[in-house]
Amino acid sequence: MTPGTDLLLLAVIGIDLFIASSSRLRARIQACALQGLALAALPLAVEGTGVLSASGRVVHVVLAVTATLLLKAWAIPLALTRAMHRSGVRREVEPFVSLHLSLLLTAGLVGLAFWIGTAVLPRLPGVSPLGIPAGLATLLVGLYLTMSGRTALTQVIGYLVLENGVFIIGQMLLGEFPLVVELGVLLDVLVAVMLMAVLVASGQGIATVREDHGSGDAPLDAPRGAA
Amino acid sequence: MTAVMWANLAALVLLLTAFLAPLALWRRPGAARLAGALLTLAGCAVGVAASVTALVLGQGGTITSLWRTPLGPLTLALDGLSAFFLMCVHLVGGLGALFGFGYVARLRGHLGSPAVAAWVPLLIATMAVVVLAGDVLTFLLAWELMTLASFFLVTAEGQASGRPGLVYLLASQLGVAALFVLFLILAAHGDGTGFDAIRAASAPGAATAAACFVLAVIGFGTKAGFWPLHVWLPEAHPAAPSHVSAIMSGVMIKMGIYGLLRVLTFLGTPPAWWGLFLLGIGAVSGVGGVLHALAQHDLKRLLAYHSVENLGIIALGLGLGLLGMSQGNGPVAALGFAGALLHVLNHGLFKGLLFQGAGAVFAATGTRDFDELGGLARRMPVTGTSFLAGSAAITGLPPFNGFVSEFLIFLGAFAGATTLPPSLRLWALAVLPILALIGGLAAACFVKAFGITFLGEPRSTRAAQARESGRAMPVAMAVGALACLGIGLWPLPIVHLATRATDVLGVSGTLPPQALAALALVPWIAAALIGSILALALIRRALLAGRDVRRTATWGCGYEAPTPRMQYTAPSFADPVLTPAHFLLDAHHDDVAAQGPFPVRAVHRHHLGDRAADRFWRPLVRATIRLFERIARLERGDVPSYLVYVLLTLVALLLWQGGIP
Repeated sequence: MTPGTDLLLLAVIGIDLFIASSSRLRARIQACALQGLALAALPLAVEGTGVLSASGRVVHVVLAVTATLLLKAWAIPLALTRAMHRSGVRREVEPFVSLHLSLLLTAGLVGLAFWIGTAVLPRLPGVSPLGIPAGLATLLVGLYLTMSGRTALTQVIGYLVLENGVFIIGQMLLGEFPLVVELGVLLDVLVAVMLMAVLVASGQGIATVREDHGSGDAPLDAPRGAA
Repeated sequence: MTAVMWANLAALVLLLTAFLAPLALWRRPGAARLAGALLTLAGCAVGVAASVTALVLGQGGTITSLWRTPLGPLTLALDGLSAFFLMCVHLVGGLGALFGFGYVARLRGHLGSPAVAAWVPLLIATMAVVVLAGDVLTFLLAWELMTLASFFLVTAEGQASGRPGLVYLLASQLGVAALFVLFLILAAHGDGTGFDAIRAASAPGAATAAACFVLAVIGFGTKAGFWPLHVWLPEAHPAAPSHVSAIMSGVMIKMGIYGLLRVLTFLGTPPAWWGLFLLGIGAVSGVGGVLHALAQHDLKRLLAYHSVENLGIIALGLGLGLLGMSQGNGPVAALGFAGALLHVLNHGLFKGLLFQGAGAVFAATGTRDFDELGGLARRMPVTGTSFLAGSAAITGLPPFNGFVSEFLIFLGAFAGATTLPPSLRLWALAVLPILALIGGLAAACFVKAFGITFLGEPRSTRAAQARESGRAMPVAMAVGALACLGIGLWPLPIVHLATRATDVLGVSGTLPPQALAALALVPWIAAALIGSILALALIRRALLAGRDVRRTATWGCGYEAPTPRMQYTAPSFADPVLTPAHFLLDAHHDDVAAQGPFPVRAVHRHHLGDRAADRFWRPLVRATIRLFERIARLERGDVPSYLVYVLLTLVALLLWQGGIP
């Protein structure tokens, strides 16, 4: 436990709010990469530098950090950027919820997460008081982004943020995942994002994942919502 | 394993073969039909023999399957109660199958497919398994199979029977939902799903027992057609082929009575209100059923409402039995239960007969509408005579069987009114006028049904050209009529068989000696009745001897040239009886009054709605549909909406975990 942990967690929450309030997709992807970077640094900050001297843990920590860094800060943002270029959509146009309201709502979600994480859940010894709230906040904001996004890319980004929230909660509660589990989760995320990137890139105009699904997974009768 | 169990198993195997054999012989429909009918008859004959033997010798037995389900093996168990119902199933089922053999051949073009007749033996077999079931799983399996087999039979006439079939299936599923809950409670209480295990466990507490009783009345009452759960009967019976109506109304709805009795054996000594509850149901079903029957224009719909009435009579008997049991009053309990059980058999026989008569009329004329029938007694003598016998039996007239069972219930009510504790006497006493009212109204109704259908002049050319068809149908009806007459003439043996069944209920099985003495008088009364009728006929003959006797149409106000249109119609029979009861009924008149000295046109139409259906079930079903439509609006078909639900659920869960309501 180091002061670095709290700083990293605060940064993660800040990035959540930034993503929710930004309309440019490129900025969202970059913020996402930045969040990946912060997450990659999180194990190091939690364990402190002392871990590097403990022989058994080194391999684990280094592997996990490297994998997170490679995937979340480099490979996935790269794939998303490419998909964005191919689909030709640069901005979140006509969002369901206006950006100002989005910011307010996400701030509310962050507040809820903090209230739950501090007032409701028991305080865990040896865990940063920010840990659970930050994880919950990221999870809720990610879910909100997936839900409110009109473009497919925003939904993918929301999914990534949600996944990051799960990662933080896990990191805070368990201290560490078994290596296999950690790598497996990362692989899952990678495959899912690649798949979605391909879908986004193959669409034209404001192609959304929703519409791509719509062809194969059409509801039984005419959609009743304002889709 | 005893010999009777082997015989019962053989009957089941024969019936299942009868179900499968026509499928194997599908290339030769004639042979398939014959094989199916013969095997069914053989199975039913073996079944009747086995169940009567079991009743007479007081034998029982169990068979346990080698194959074990997770809830234990499937069990068949035979005791007095199941043996009595088994006898009814095979007797009425066999007569229905015999009738159906001729009926299906006659109506080959009308039925969707003759192959549908193959479901009849399966229906009989599943009913037999229902009464033989020795554990919850076997019972529910057979119960559901029975529902399915009868559903396919109800929908046999194709498109037009779709809605009645659906109503029937929905009602059955509603009922079986209550049964599942009931048996879950019983099995949890009894530490096992075997009926023996449930019975061996100490009787459940008062609240549990009351819940079980109410669930049983709802679940089994749906099958039995208790008011207001009867709404499927007037829909399904007219839609089904007639021999199927005969079997369904004759025995299948009695499976509800059997289930109710079987569950009562698990619940220990009943409190008095159970008896009063059933008395109330019986009174409402009986009077409501017969009043609605009076107003019907369709012969089979009329008969369907009479099933409601007769199940009401059975419920009155059961209610008296429960009252007697609750007070430890053996004679009242024995009379009530024996009367109810005997009425199960009797109603099976005469209602089967009447539905077969309606089927024969339909096969000959192509209609069941009273406005197109008439004068059939001379054209179809066997059908007419049998229908008359059935009508006399259902109205409870001696010397037919309906009299005997209603007589037992009357005796039970008299015994209750004199020997029960003072607080309950009045209720037992109230049974007497209700039963008398039901009998009187039923008589009025069958004067109408028989008179309009079989007497007078034909109201359509189809009725004028009607004739008896085939041999199987008349034979089945004649056998049924003779059985009704036989039980009415010599009731004691059958009454003794019924008391074997009441033994299982924990009632001291013997009937009070006065009742037995009264029953012993029945043959003499019947003989006196028949003798006086014969004497009157002889006197008439003697008086008319040597005089000029002309046969002509029934006297109709002295018109010179009467036409069939000048006869009494069905509503003109019903209206005088129904008018005083209009405050109870939703009657709709559609009248165009005759005007002027030379009226050109006058119309009197009469239609009776069913309050239970129109005021209770229809609004309930509408509200349910509206509710589900509202819920279905949640299904929007796009991912973000579902994600909103996920987020809202997650937040709600977190808040709930946080102690926020």
